[in-house]
Amino acid sequence: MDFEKKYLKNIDWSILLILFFLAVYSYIGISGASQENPLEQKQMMYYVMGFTVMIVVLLFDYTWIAGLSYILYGIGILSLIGVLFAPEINNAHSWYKIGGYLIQPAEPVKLFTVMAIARYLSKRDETGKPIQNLIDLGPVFLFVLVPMGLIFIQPDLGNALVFTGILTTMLIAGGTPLRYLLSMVGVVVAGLASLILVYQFNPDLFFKIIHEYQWNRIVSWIHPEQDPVGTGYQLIQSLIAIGSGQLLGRGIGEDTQAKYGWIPVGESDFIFTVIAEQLGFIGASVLIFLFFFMIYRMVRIGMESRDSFGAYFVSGVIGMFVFQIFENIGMTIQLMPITGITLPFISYGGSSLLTNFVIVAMVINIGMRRKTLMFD
Amino acid sequence: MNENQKQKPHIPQRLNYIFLFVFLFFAALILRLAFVQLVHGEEYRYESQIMSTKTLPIAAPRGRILDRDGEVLVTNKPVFTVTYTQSQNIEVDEEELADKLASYLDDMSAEEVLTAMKGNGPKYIPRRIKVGLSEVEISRLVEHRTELPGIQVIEDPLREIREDAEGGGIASHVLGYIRQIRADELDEYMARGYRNTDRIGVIGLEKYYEDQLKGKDGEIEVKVNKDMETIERRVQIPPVPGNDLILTLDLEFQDKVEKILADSIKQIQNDPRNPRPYVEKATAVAMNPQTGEILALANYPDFNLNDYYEKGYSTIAGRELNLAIGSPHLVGSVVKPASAMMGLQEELITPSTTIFDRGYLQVGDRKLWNWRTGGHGRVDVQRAIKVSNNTFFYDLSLRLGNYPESVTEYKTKFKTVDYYFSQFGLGVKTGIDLPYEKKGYFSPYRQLGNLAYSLIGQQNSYTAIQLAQYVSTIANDGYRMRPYLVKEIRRGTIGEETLGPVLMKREPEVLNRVDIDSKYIELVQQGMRMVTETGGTGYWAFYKTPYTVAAKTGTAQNWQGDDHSTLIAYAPYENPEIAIAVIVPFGGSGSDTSGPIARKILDAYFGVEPEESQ
Repeated sequence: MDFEKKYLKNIDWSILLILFFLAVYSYIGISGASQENPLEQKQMMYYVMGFTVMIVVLLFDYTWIAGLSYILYGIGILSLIGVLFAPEINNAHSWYKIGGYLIQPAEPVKLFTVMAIARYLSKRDETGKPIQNLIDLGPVFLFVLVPMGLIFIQPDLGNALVFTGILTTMLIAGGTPLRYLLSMVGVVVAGLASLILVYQFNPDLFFKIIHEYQWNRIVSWIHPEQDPVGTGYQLIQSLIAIGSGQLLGRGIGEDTQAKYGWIPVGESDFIFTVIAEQLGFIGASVLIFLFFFMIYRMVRIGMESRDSFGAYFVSGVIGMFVFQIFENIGMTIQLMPITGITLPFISYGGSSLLTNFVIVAMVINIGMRRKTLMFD
Repeated sequence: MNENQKQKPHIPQRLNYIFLFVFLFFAALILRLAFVQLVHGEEYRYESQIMSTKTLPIAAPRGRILDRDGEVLVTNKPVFTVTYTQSQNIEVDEEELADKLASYLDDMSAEEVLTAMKGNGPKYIPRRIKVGLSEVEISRLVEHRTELPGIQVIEDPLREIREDAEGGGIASHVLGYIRQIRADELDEYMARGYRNTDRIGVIGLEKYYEDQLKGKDGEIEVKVNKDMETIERRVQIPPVPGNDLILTLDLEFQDKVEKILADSIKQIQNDPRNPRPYVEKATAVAMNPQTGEILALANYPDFNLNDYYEKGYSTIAGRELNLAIGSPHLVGSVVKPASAMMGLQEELITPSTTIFDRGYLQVGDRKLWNWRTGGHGRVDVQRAIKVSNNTFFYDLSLRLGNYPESVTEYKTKFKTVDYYFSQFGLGVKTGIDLPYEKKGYFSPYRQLGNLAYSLIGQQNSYTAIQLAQYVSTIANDGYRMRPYLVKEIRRGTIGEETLGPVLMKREPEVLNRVDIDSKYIELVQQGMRMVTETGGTGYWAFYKTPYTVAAKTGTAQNWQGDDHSTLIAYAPYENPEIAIAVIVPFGGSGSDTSGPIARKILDAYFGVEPEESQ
């Protein structure tokens, strides 16, 4: 254990402060949702556990932890395979039930995947060879696609899609030549464009490629009012709740749509709705700003990290968090289609909160063991 | 530290790119959030209010009906009813729903439930599927509420009617009943502020005093959750209960009169010496001749309104007509006092005018007979009333028609008869506070014989209430009083035993003073007094009453069957307190059938035990 005084000085205290505020938001959100059993106390307990885990993580040099990347990744993949054989809960094979607790392996696998890719890219950097062709990136895609596929078949589309966020930022940070990045964007755009063309000129074929329920999801995103008590229900209710929060909100603990049960899964997927209704535009935009500031601090840490692993790791974390934050908040305000995805640090759930604490602990770890200035 | 481990130079730049995207994403979130909360916030808040705040009506309890001493005749009892309202935007498999619902109800089949659910009229009317749920049924329905779209359990106050000792109804025809608004009436009632589940009075006092009894619904603001469960209720406007009606009827007396009618008819039907099963109906009205207060108004057959409310209309079908006001009959000789007064007032006869009755009189081309074919010999006007002589009035009709001096003048004299009769209430509405009062039935025949018939009650048909008003007018020396059932209206109270303050107190109302000299009225009163004296047609019926009675019997021949038996009377003669009219269709002679009924009614009124006065 090489814990030095300067590390303490180098800890990014602002991120810790943000986490503290996020805990407050989480408490307000969960207690504002209509719950049969109060969950906010449990969540606070997870927060305490999270800070404890964070301290533990900080005691180890992240370089040592990075050495475990492939092992952890392997364990993670095995746990994802294993969970497919676990009993079904909520129509999905996403959880292990151990001693009354539901443990979701997909959450730590996000961390392990980021670690493994960062490890791979930083090792590649050591060889000194730049990325020349797509084959060099092959392992990166593999690291992402294996867990993504396993999570997708659970099924858990939301968490699977998070890996695209991880992949995107890590490809950018990893120094993928611009032409590759642009051509990848081109492929995605071309794919979407051809789907639109198929829809226009051969709807039968289109609905062979795209399942009807998938299409309905898109339709109910753009026109939720077409089926207000069916597929459009969640979105309409979310918009009504958020909108009625107006500038200042209805107030904490006041009569809200969420309190009366109009907001389904208000303690997890739609927790932003609950918060925005209670705290209004001011409270909700402060929350968004807190996230933004946390990402900003992470970018700084990535830039100042002493080695490539640190920078790549941080960029993967940024991709993961930004994807989740943007998708989760976006779906409540009709900016994105609805997917089952949680809001980091805010939504109720032990697995994701503890994983996120470990992730942020890793980032802080990288930050506090950053490049030392010459005159330090 | 290994030099190779150092960060690659491309990293800060790439992280800057990433941060640029991050910035754009977060800016998009903030902008969209501002759009939802600040630009459209007002609309969304309005929508949220509509969704989670419902204004529900609180049903105002309908006013009660009490007898003159404050005995409650009609009140409300809380009943729970399950209703079905077809939803406008959700498709419901009604057959499946009916199956489910039937399984939670004790005694209804799925078919019955489905029929009730389909109902009549527009879809949005809630249909009552079962009224009067048991507690077990309620708890089952509430428990399975989520599987029963459109099904609601509502508190649905029902009328509860006072029953007599035998479990029969009291004053059922007078009280009337309420029922749900029919689809074809809905527009009209909705325009008057009714709700589509409201019940309205459709007959009897329930209809006549609908506006008083109805009350005014309150409003309650209810916060509901997404399952439409109530979270919080806040009374905005408390309901105003309907006003209470205080009747002129005396519960006990009314009950006795009903029993007298029922017992008498059953006795006639089952008389071992002369069973007359075709005598099926009877009606009697007793009123205070000084004020017009109805003391009793009874019909046979009657019914129990509780049966109607609990088991439906079929339990009263065919018996719901209030005979006393809605069923005109030929009334026979009871009109003779009026005919006599007309003759006297028109100076066609004088108190001393006499005729010699040989048992018949040639009227025009036909011979009209007295009921006693041997004749009554010498008859003056008072004796004509006493013995109910027909010939005297045949003669009077010829005087009236100026026949045979003029062969056509009589045609104009029907009007004269109607003019005099109507002053007593015969052939006009009496103005009683009940709906659907009949004016009577006017014969279209206008022969000379018909004029003669009209003077002995064989021409036009009148109702019992008209006879009661008529005899009251004689009894009170010529004032036609408006008969009334409600003497007071009091402000309704909720859940209190005491009565509210008096809102309206009915004052006796003189409709008109008859255009007849008092001395003639007195003469006729004496004639009617003589009816109950030795030799009068009512002698045996009113034999040895401890009170003095003036009466007139009637026996109306009719083409449908046996004679209608009628009677009018008032007592005590000197200072009349009660005037009564009795009609027993097909009951035979007035003295034999209506007479004993009237006697029993008067005995009951004066508190005379039957054995005392035989």
